[in-house]
Amino acid sequence: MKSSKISDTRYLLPYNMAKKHFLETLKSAFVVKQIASSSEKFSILESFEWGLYKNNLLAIRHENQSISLWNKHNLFDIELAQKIDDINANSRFWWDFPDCTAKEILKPILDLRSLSPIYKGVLKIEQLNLQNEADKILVFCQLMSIYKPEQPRTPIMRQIIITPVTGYTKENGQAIELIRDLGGFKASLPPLDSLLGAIGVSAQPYTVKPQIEIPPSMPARSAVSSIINIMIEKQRLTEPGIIKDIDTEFLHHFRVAIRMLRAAIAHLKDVFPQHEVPILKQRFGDLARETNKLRDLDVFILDQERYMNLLPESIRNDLAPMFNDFQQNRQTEAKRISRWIGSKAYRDEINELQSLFENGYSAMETLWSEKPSIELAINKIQKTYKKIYTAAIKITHTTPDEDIHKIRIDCKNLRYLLYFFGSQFNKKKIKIVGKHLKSLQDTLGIFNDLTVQGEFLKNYLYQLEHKPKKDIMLIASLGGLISTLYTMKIQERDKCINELAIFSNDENRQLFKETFIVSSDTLPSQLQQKGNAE
Amino acid sequence: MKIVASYSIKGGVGKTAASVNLAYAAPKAANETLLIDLDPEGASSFYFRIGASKKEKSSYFFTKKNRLLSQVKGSNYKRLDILPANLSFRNFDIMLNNMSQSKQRLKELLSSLKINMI
Repeated sequence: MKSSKISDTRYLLPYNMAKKHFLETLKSAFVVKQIASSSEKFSILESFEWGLYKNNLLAIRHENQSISLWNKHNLFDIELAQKIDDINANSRFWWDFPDCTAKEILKPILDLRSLSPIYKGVLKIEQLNLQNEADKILVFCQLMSIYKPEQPRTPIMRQIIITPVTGYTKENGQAIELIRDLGGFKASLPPLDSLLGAIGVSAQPYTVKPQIEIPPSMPARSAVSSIINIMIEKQRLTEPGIIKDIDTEFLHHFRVAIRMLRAAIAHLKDVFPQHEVPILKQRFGDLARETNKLRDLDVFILDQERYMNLLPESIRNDLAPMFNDFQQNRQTEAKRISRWIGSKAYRDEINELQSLFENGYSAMETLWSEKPSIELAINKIQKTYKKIYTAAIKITHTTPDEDIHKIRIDCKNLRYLLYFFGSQFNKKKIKIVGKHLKSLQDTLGIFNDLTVQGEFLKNYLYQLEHKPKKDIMLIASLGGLISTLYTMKIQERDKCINELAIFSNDENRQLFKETFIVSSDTLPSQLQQKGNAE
Repeated sequence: MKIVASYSIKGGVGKTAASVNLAYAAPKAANETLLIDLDPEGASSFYFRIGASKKEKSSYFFTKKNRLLSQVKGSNYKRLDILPANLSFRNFDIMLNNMSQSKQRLKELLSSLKINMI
């Protein structure tokens, strides 16, 4: 990223300040020379997760559709912009951009996310030089104004950037004095926040992970209800993105949110009346299952290049008809899901489910519903871990794949329990537990993906049987791909066995024992004594 | 920090032209740039309309760093500063030649400018 060490000084100016008054004030001490001026419609671009904001970056799309990218130190400095040219309005993903520095910066930040406009306005930038009679520049000035498109006369934000010139400190001070006389003031917030604040946009970084702090003494049912409620909210935030089919991550996070809340229902079921659990699971499950096909297609299409590269170059392109099929199916399926999410049937169902948890789930008391949430957390985390290590130590090279998949599901549930209740335990230890779990989950995840992908391709192969015209080369390349995936799966299986052995070793068991306890800083002493006695 | 020197004992080969153009291009790529004009004719400084104090002596170059730094002036281009030429630089090459460890001293001085200039 281009960055400048010049000590720019940014001042916000009163938005209703008359330009004439501004220039006359500066002219009282300097020869003011206007160098360049541009005015254009622009939009601020962001990903749904506010990835750019989180990385202190700002991207705008210009009227000609090109994109400028800045870091927070040089916002709107035209010379320091990383530009993405030769693109159109449909260029929203990093892979749509031609090779350039900005693309390299955006690639890891956006990943699968699309850039979308979060604000549209008119941007006016005026470069002014404050000079002496001999035409020597003493201070650089840049006046930046943002207007609402419907109010092109009154800016909603006006900012002046003063850039000192070496050797002219006195003149720089003089310019700052004049700016202050005009009512200019230094923004108290960081540059990006100050910009967003002035144009009335509030940053809302999204993450599907629940960042919650459940009080340890909170009754278990209230805690679980609040977790589920948060996850429903996260799920619902993805709905507009799925309806507009902005990027594939919206559906992915929709499903992850449901998966997490279903895990909460299934694993923390003791807080709900027994007969209501399967109904809740079924209702949320139905919502997720509706989207299975689209997600499968998304996963395959996103991985197209990787699949192609698994085959010898000579038969790589023979896979193309399959991906064309997938693309066509995806279009149809995405439209269907878009209609479904926008339908009254879906809305009614999710509204009803949401209303069950919004103000705490109301039902008959159960054995666990009123116990402190930390007791539930310890009980479930310890049980899930025990389930994993007892299964893990039985794994041998002849264990069926299904058993490994079951462990993977338990690991996922353990991960979710850590998300939900992690804040109730020692931070450092939770971090270590999380790290060990992640390493295991990554390996199990690859193993599972390879199995699922192999199955998916086999099913596609069987479908080809019914086609009147058989493409022999496609069938051959599919065969090649399936066998490559199988070989990879075998290798990955060995890695899984090793990782499982590490995860269930004595050291890790001790770590779990020490981490998930009632400690003095989480609960009142009464409960602590009780917890430790148990 | 990168140090680029444009040097030749022959005249008219484009030393000044190369220096000023490089000095103009470098800040366009966001590099903080200092153009040190050691040519007593001061053609580079003239390009950027910057004159030097007549009081300076070439010996100050190594002995009075703060005094040297105070001579640095910003150009009409952002991120490009100039240490303008001085008539006393006319024997700068002879001075360097007579100095012990001249290369090392010049290198140390230029490296330290980076810290002082920011």
